[in-house]
Amino acid sequence: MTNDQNTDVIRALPAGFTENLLELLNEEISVDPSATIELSTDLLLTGLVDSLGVVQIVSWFEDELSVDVDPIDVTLENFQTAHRMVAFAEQLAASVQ
Amino acid sequence: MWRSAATAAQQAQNSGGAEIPPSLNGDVRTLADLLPAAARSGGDTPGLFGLDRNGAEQVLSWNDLERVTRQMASNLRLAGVRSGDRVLVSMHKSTASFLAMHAVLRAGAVGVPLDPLAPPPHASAVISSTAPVAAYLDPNTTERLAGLLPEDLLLCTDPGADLEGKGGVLAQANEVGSEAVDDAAGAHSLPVVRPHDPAYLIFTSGSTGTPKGMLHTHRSGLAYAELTVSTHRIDETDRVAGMSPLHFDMSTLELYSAPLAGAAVVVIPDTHLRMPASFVERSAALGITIWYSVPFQFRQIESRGAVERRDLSALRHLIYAGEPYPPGALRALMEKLPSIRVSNAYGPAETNVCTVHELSGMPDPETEIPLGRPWGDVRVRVVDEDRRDCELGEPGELWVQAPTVMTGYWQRPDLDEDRLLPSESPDEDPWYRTGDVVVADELGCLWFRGRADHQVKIRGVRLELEAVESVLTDAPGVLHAVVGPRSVDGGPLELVAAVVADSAHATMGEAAVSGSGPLALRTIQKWCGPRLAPAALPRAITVMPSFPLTASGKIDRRSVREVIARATSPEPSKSTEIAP
Repeated sequence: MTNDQNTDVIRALPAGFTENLLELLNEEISVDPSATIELSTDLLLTGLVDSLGVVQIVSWFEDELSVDVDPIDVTLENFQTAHRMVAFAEQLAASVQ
Repeated sequence: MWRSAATAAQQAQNSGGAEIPPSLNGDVRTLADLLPAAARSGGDTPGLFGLDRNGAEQVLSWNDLERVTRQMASNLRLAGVRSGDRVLVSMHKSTASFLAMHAVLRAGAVGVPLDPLAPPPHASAVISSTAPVAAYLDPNTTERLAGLLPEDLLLCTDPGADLEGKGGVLAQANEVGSEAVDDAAGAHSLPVVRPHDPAYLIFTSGSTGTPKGMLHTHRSGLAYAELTVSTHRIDETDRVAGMSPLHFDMSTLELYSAPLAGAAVVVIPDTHLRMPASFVERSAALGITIWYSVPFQFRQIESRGAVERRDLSALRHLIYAGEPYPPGALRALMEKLPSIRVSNAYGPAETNVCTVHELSGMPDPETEIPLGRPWGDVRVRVVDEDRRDCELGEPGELWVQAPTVMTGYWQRPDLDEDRLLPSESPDEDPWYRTGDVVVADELGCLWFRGRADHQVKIRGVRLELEAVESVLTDAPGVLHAVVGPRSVDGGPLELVAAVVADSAHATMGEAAVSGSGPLALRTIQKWCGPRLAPAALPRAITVMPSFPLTASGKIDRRSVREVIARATSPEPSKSTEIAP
C-alpha cells in the first residue's frame, strides 16, 4: 500500500481505474451479483452496496491511490454512484500532487 | 418471589421519571389519535424534518402532518379500503413513508411494512399471506414487486414522488384517490378506531423460511409509545432520529413515541445509514437529541462517522436495542460523546420492548451489560424446562406478560399455541415465551444467556439459521449446508457457512474453491443474493468433504458451527471469503 515515490508524479488516476472500480463493484461488492452496476447506478438506494461494502470500497481506494481517505469524506456526495466515486478519486489524486 | 420485587423496584424507579403530558395522555387512545393530538398541542411547530428526492430539506408542522394524513386516510376510505384491510407500505425511509404509515392507521386499516429491497420469495410470502387491498410503493419498488402484487390492488400515489419542498407534498397528497378533500370533510369519512383493533404487522424470517408476521394492535403499539416516552423522558424539546427501516420494529419509536411526546422526527434516509459521515453531519445540522438504533449501526458511526469532528452538543441520549453491544465498543463511542446518556432496550419484536437498562457511567470493557429490568408494570418470569419458576441466578426461558405484547402471529395458530400461553386470570394478557434464555439477579435485573433455539441476531436483524441453511441447501451443487455466526477480532457478528457438495459435483479442492470448478462459490453467492436479506448472506463459505454426524445419524450442526466460527484468518483468502 505504500508507494511513496509515486505520490509526486500522480497527475491523474491510475490507468484503468474506472474499469477496475466497476469490476470491483460488480464482482466483489454487490450483494446481488445478478444486477449490473453501471457508472450512474445508485448503489445505496438500490441496496446493492451495504455498509460493509462501503468499507471495502474505501479500503480499495486507499490501496489504488496510495492515500488515506478521511472518514469525513465518506459521504453520499462522494460515494452514491461509481461516477461520483471517480470524481472523488480525481480530487484525491489531485490533492496529493 | 423475585418478580414482584422486581416490578416494585421498577415502579419505584419510574415514579421519578417524567409523566406523559396530560393533554396528550387523555386524548390519545389509539395510534390513529397521535397526529391529531400532536397537532392540537404542537400546532405549527415542526413535527418532521425530511428530505425530498432531490435531497432538499422538507419541514412539516404537526398541523401539516395531521392534515395530510387525514386527507390520505380519507382517500383510502373513498377508494374502498375498509377497517382491518391490509395496506402494504414498501418504501425507503422518507417523509412519504412516515405519512403513509399514519394514513393507513387513521383509515382503520392494518399497515404491512415490507422491506423495499426484500428478496422476492420473502416479498411474495408476505403479500400472499396478507392479501393487501392497497399499497404505498416507491417507483422502484413498484418495478421490483411487479408480478407479485394482486391484480386488483389499489396503488396509492406516492405522496413523496418528484416533489420539492413541503408545498409539493401537500398538493400531491390532495390528489391521492379520486378527489381532493377539504379540511372539514376529511374527518367525517374516517372510521372510529378502537384500542383492540389491529394496527400493523411486522414480519421476520421464520425457521423454515416462511416469514412470521406479528400482529400488533393500537393498544400494544400505544402502550409501547407511552412506556418509551415516560421511561426515556422524551418531550417536545427532543428531536428523534428515525434510524430504522419501516419493516423493523424499532421504527415504532419515531412513528409513535415521538408524536406522543410532541418530539420532532428527523427522517434518516436508508442511504445516510450506509454512510455514517452523512448521518452524523445531518444529526449535527438538525440538532438531533435522541439516537435509537442497533449496535451494528452505532459501531459504524463510531468508526466512520467522524463523530468527534461535528458539533453533536444537542445529542443527549443514545438508545440501543436488537443485539448485545460489546462494552468495549460502546465505551469507544461514549468517549467521543462525553455527556451522553445510554440505555439498552431489550425485547423481541413480539413484545416491542420489555426491559430497559440505563448505564450509570462508562462501561467497563470486561463487564457485561445487562438486559435491564422490566419497565412499567410489565411482568416477567424465568422458567425451566418444566415451566417452573427458576431460582435467582438459575438460567431459564424468559416469559413476558405486558400490554405491549402482540395479539398473535398472522394466520399461524400453531405458533400462537406454542408461544402465547393463557394467563392464570382470563382478564390478563397472555404470557409470551421469548425463547431467550436469561438469568435474573437479586435486583430483578435480567442477563442474556443465549437462545433456546437456533435464532441469531446479525446487525440487529433476527435470523433463523435453518431458514438460511434451507436456501443454501437448494443452491446448485450443494447437498448439505450449515450456517453459523462468527465474530472476527471482536467485530460484529456475521454469518458464515459450510457446505458439502452433492455427489454429481463431488470433485472438490482448488478448482471448486477458485470459482471455476464444479461447486463454484460464486454460483452459491449468486444463488443467495436474490433469496436472502443482506444480513443473512454468508460472508465466507467453507467447502467440506462431509459433515460429522451425531450418534443418531443427523448432521452434527453444533460441531460444524464451532468449526466455522473458529475459521477466521487474519488475511482471508479472496477465494473463500465472499464479499457482501
